[in-house]
Formats: sequence, C-alpha cells, structure tokens
Amino acid sequence: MKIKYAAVFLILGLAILAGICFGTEFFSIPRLFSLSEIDKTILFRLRIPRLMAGFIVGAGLSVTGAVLQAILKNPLAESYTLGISGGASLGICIGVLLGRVTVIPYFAFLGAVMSIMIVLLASIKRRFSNPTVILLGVALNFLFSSFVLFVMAVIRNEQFQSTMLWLIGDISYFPGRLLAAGMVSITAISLFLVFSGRVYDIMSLGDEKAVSMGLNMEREKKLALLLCCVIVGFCVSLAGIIGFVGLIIPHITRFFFGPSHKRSLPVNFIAGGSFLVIADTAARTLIRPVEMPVGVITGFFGGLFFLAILLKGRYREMW
Amino acid sequence: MLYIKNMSFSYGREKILKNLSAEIKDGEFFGIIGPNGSGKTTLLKVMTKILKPSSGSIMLNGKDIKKIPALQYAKSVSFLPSEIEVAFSYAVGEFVAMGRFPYTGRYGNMSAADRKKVMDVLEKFEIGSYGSRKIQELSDGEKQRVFLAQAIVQEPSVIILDEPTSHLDIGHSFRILDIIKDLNRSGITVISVLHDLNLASEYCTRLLMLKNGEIFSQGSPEEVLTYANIEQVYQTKVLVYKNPRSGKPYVFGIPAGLLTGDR
Repeated sequence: MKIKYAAVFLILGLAILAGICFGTEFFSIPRLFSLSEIDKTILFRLRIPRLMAGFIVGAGLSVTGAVLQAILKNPLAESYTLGISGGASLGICIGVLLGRVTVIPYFAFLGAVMSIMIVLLASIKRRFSNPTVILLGVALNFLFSSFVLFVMAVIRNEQFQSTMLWLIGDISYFPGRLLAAGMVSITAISLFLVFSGRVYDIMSLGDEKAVSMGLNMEREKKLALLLCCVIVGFCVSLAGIIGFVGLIIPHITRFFFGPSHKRSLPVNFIAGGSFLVIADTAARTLIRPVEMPVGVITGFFGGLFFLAILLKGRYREMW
Repeated sequence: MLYIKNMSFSYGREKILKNLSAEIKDGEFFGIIGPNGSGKTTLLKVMTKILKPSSGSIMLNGKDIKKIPALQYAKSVSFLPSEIEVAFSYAVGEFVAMGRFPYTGRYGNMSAADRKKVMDVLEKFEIGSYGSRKIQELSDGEKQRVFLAQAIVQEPSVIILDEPTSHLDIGHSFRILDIIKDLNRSGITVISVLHDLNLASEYCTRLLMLKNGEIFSQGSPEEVLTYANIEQVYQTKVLVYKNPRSGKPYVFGIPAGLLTGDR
C-alpha cells in the first residue's frame, strides 16, 4: 500500500515537472535556476497558473466523478456523462450574455443544478436504468452545447473559435481571481467529501440498507449533489467542458486502492489533478507551436477507456 | 418490545397494509408469512423506518419509533433486505465494519472498541479467514453470512430479515437459520419474512399470516399453519402433517392433477 501511495506522489511530481518544463519553449532543469525576465514571465504568468488550473480542475472532476458513481450506483456517472458540465456551460453562456463576468461561477452552479435536477427527476419518474440515465445526460449535453454554440455564433462572431475550444475543454484562458476562488472552494469541498467518505460507502449499499443503518439518505444525497455542482461549476468556469477525467480516474483509483472512499477520494484528488496536468502539457506540446485544447487528449483516452470496458465486457468488474 | 398499533400504510391511493396490530415480545423469533403481494416486505420497511405509516404507530419499548432519531434507532434495530446489490468490490472485513456506522457517525472514525467488535463478529461468523476477499468473489451462502455479520455488528436488540434464505439451497438455508436461531438464543429478537412455510414452522416461536394487507391469523406455528388457513390465504390445496423429529407442522403442497378423494 505504501508503494502505491509513493507512486501517486511520484506521478504528481512528474506532472508538475513536465508542466513547468514543456511547452512551446522548453525549459531544461539548469535553465530553471537561471531565469531571464522573459522566462520568469512565461513561467509565473503563464505556465504555473495554467498548471494550477489544470490540477484543480482534474482533481475536482475526479472527486465528483467518484462521489457521483457511488451515490447514483452508476459506474458510468460523472459530471460530463450526466450532463452537469453541459448545464454549467449553458449557465455560463447566459451569464456572459448578461455581461456579468464576475458572477460566472454562480451561473455555472445554477446551470449544473438545473441539469442534475432534470436528470434525477426524469430518471425517478420514468424509472430509468443506469445506462438510460447516461443516455439522458448525453442528450442534455448535446442540447446545451448546441444552445451555447448558437448564442455565441449569433452574438459575437469573432469569438466563435474560442467558444468552440472551450466547449471541447481548454485551459488557456481564465481570470486569476477565478483560479484562486476555484482552488480554495474545490479543495475545501473535496476535504469535506473525503472526511464524509463513510457516508458514500454506506450509500453505495443501496437506499434500504443505508436508511436502516441510520443514514439520512435524502439529506446526504442532496448535500453531495449540491457540493458536486459547486465543484463542477468552478471546473467548467475555468476550463470548459472536459469529459471523461471523472470517469477514468475513479475507476483506476478504485482498482488499485479499493472502493473505500476515505482511502480513494484523496488519491482521486491527486491522481486526477496530475492526469489533467500531464494531458494539458501534452496538448500544449504535441503539435507545437499549435496548442490543442486539452479536451482532445482526455476525450481520446476517455473514449479508448470506454471502448475497452465495453469490448472486454468488464463493465461489472470495473467496480 | 415492538408494538404495532392500528397501523396502516398506503402507497398513493392503494392501501397496502390495513389496520395491523401485533405485539412482538423481547426474545421472540417472529415469522411473517403470506402470499406474494400480501404486504410482508412493506410491513418490514415500516418497522425499519424506511417507510412511514399512513396512520397508527409502531412503538419500540414504549416509544413511538417516528420520534427516535435514525442513528439511535439503528443501534437497536438492524435490517437485512432480501437483495443487497453491492456496487463496489469491498473486502469482507471493511464491508462488515460498515455496520458500525450508527456508532461512528458520518465521519466514520472507528475506535479500538469498534474494531474489536468487528473482529469478534468476524470470528463468530467464521468469516475472519476471508476478511480480505472481495464480496463479489463469495458464493451466495458465504455472502448471506457476511450480510448477516454486518447487521449484527450494529449490535441490535431486534434484527429484521427479509427472506434470509431466498437464494440458498436447503443446506445453506438451515445453516443460516441455525445461526439466526443462535443469535435469537443469545437474546436478540428476530423478526423475519419467510417464504418457506416449513422453515417458518421449524424456527419461529410465533407467526403472523398476512392476506391482502390484513392479518389473517396470528399465533404459534400450530395455530397458524392449519390446512384451512393455508388453503384460504394461498388459494391452493395442502396437507399438513407433523415433522416426526420436531413435532412442528409440516406442509405438503399438492399438484392440481392429484386433487381427488378425501384428505
């Protein structure tokens, strides 16, 4: 077990190092110790904030993915497949239309809450099975994305390209204050979720068992969903819609560290953050000097991962 | 003592349970029987506070259970549903330890006493040797034993079971009921829905027979399991003899093709 934890921190270290060194401009380790003024600007104004944003978004998405999978008892649940990210993006779009840039995270949160409510109400009313809930989420995502694209295309033609990137998931532009607020909120909420890990263990046993163990199911479910919406709201505000991180990382973490949430959620935080930093570094460097949106990389690996689960028929085993 | 007092339960407009009254004394092995859809599971869910009665009440040791906080109630009453679909591949040890939730609360920090209780139960149920195995790898018989262990780690004075033998063969059925009987002897009140009338007859001290959400008959197995009762409630012809070893009623079903002549 100790070796596994050491490996996680090693990956974190490598991710940070890669995020700092690689890019359009390569920084060798000796160069890091004799920085010119321009180098400092690149490093402290661009790379490190972007690294921090990538980390906190990856961490937030992985933790919410793990929690959503437990409380909905659905192995394919995450903010992207449930349409929560799409809802948040629609909220942001409306916020931008109203010209209130400072309150964008609130709009993102409201959009996220709206979409999770649609998903939950519809799936309870219609008694949807797990895969059907995911189809509903994906359908909502398409709907919201097309609405966002429509609005952006009509209103500001010149920003069409950047909106497109943002819908795929891109960590190239975000205000500094938003990064600070996101880091504080996502870290605090993640800590709370880690400490409440036992609650999500119990919830994963099903409603009847959980209630008979004295868990206030209704309250805990609402609380967890709201907290997930806050995290996703910040993630989407910072980096747009990044899919599949919240799906892949929790499954891999569970495979190595077991399903207990007290143990696996902290690992999700660190591993998810590291994964997105590495993915973003790859996105920045693979076809230099052109930068890809990070969503291209996560989508690629996420798609492969999804396919592997389906084709190998290991849908059940992945838990 | 669990006292069900003029209790009804409706789901929407449909009345599922109609004005039930029963008294379950401490130390009883209380069986609930009845045909499919007669309200057995619903009755259990009301007793475990999963569902709220529409009218009437249930009292635990003289106190209305709706006034007992959920965590505190879970320290007195534990529940084993007929199906537990375990979503994740928990190890047996950590799975059983979850039963301490009412004591550790939402942050789930286990004290040395909590840990010791878990170890004791693992040993008592003879599952300590596979504490690190995954739940999914176990056979149905082993799983049921683990589920029961989790319910017992809760240290209940009353354990409520919904068809604890439904997935088990005759050998495993008797073994799990023997374990439950032992728990019962050690002072835990057992309330169980049982589909198999003969198992109910062998193990229960008292039976409650439901038909369409109403109590049809209540009493000792000898009083309840008469052919007249069973024929009316289950709409099928049966013969009732005595088990030569235990002297308890034993119910024989009769295929329709053989229904000729007198009993």
